[in-house]
Amino acid sequence: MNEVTELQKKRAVNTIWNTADDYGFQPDFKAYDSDGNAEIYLNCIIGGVYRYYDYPKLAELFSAFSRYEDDADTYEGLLWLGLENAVYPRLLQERPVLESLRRDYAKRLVSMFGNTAPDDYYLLDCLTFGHYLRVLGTEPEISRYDRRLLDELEFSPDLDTDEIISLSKELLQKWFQITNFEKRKERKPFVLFTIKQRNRRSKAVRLHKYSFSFFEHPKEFGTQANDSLNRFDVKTKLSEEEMQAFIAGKFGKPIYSKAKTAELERQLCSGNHSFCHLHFTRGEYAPETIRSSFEAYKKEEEAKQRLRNRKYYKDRYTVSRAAIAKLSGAIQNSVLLHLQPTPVIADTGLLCGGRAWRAQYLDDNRIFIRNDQDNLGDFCVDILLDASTSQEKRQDIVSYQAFIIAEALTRCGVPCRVSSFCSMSGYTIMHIFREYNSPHDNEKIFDFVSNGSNRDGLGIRAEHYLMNLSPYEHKLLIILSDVKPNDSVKIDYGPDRVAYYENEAGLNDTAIEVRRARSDGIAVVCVFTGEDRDIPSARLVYGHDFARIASLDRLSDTVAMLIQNQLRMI
Amino acid sequence: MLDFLRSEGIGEEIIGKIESFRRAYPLEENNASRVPVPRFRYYGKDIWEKALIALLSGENVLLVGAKATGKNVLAENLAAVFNRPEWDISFYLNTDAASLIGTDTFRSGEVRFRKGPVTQCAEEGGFGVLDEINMAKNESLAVLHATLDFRRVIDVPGYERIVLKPCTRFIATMNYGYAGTRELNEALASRFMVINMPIISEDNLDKLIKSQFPALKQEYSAQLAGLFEDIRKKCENSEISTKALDLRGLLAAISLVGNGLSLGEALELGIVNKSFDDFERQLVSDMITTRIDGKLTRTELFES
Repeated sequence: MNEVTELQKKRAVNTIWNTADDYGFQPDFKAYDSDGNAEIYLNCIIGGVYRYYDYPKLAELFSAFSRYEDDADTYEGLLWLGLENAVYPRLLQERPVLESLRRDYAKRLVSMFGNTAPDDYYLLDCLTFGHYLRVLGTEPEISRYDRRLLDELEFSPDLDTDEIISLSKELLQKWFQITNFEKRKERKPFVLFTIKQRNRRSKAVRLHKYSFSFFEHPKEFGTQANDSLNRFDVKTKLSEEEMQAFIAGKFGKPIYSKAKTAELERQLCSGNHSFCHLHFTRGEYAPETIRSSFEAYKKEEEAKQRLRNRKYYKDRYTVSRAAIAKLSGAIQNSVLLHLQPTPVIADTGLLCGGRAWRAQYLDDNRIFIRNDQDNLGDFCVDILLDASTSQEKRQDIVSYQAFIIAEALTRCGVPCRVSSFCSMSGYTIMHIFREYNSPHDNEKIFDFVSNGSNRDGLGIRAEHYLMNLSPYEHKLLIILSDVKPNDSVKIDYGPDRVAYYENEAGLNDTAIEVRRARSDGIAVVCVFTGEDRDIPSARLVYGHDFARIASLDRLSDTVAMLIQNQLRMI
Repeated sequence: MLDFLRSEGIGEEIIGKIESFRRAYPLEENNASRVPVPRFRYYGKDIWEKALIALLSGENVLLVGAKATGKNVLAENLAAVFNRPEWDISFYLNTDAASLIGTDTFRSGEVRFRKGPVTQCAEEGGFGVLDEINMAKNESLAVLHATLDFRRVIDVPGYERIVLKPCTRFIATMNYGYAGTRELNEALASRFMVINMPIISEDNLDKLIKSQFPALKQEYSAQLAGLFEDIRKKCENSEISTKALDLRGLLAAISLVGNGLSLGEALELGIVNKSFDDFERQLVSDMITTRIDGKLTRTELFES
């Protein structure tokens, strides 16, 4: 069987939701054909089971099967066979087309068995063959016992959930001597089997895994490692050069030369940010300089996180596409609003005295000026992500949000740059994932990982500097942050006056940098990714120009509103 | 149309008032061709009553609703019910005062005022349908403020002040979802009675399909209405965009079957291909597969 792609998984789920008439659940089972394509008929049946029966009760029964490791799939398959028989007539009332879908499915299935009943050692295959041959109107040539079992298994559509469950238990007890239907605590991960694979196996192995087509089992999640790491807190004893090499090894090669970096630090690391350093990178890794097992472990964790970020997006693929389309529509709308008027000569509009003679002498009535609004004033958007450890539990969500926004902007042809900032050992690291002129690099946003602390003020100041270099006339900066500045380098207010870069001091400094950027003509908005208790901080720093994303469904609407508000003021 | 209103359950009191309105403002011969003869009827008693009473009370109406809620159908039906000429005024981004009220133009060696559709509608006492009113910039619509509120005038600088005929009404439509639409500002919204248009119910859609295609077998009419409902739910849950939620496309597809295509092919043209995203098209095709046998043709779909 071919690999089941994410698209086919989404397709299967959509058919199930459609038939269940409910989009509020994640189905435990999905069905595919031998090519890995979503199997429409079976997914309809799964949806029908959700629709007409109390699924959680059935789920308990399915779950109980898993204590019989080797035979669990057989029992599961048998129950689905019975459920198919029960749910089909009910679904048929609503969707008469199911009659032909069922017949087509039965024909395909029977032909897969070579039109002859499988050896009754393969009990599930044998009964499945028998059941679907009956669907085609032919009584199968199977043993007397199998026939009786099949008769009992083909549940009536008149049964309710409890009756089906009690009948199933009775049946399994009678035919398979199963008595323990207590739910098992753990389930094994999902398995996909093909008939071909099953047939290739030797008889010495338990073969009756699945009856018809290929079910995707429920996965048991919730086992995600909760190994929250302490903040990487280097008490540095390294020389400056060694420190730079460490930062480059950890975050990627610097973009600028040493001289240029020194000049930037002179310019930007002043005032509240004296004694700080900057490291601009695109995440291209320098030759590894991993010096300890802890660093190696961190690297490995980061690689895993990048995979998790990508998985988070893939799991929401369809919804994401809709969100991107919605957001790009809204951005286009805002952009349209800001089209600049272009005067054109026309035969209607405001009379243009200088051309009036043309009407008289050239019989040219185009003596008016009309304003057409089609000239898009140029503007760019920078997205800045807070990559501090406080975002650790939200890394996948933050990268997902940034990707959606960047992708929507890309579709609208709006130049967009995406960077993140974090601080470590006195260095504020600006990681640029995607430049204005690299629209195909949005995928790199999933390389986002959180690390160290965050000197928001310096991060915004550095981004402000980068934005000032951009050639665009209008600039919008979207910051995804939990607004909790925190850095080990204290603020030096003068002799005997130092403050930790956190709480009020950190917030005030960040607020000042936001206002500096604004006074320079950059519109700054914040997509707040933190906890409710930090909302007052966000209000202090960003004024009204921040929005909390209450749920990911609302991302497009909220961000669209923020962008629209800002563009209105450009 | 009045008989249709009765069949929809509209009370005699309202129908009596409509008849009085029609008597008070008889149709001028030169406008007869502008009175619409609706191809589609709007189904939904509540909405009918609200719209009729608002218009009878001299108010303008704003119909707000998502795609396929029948905003334009209702607007056209209303003009037909009141037997008034209709001006369809489509709004777009560059809609400005000149395109609504009128503009200077040069004719026969002199600058003349060329009347825009709003001015013509006002002078003739027509029903102006301001279609997709929120496509235009709010600022350019400020020119309509005096027209739409109690003043009921159009004041063009340098020309005469035009007072609206008493039977003039404006029916605006707007959709929140489309790209290019924007919020209507309060000043403009306050000049309308706003009716939120519900999505057509499965039963009413069934009725609509039957009214358009009386020969269509009932079982298929119900399945096509069910299919539309399935697509709507998928849109509501953000699994697909609203491109495939196309009532016009569904009705057109049925008529294509009448002219020889199979139902599957016709729905592909009318519904599936409205989306330009492969995956979305696949999801819509799956929904069709779970409702309709695509191989059905004219002979099976329609009563002989």
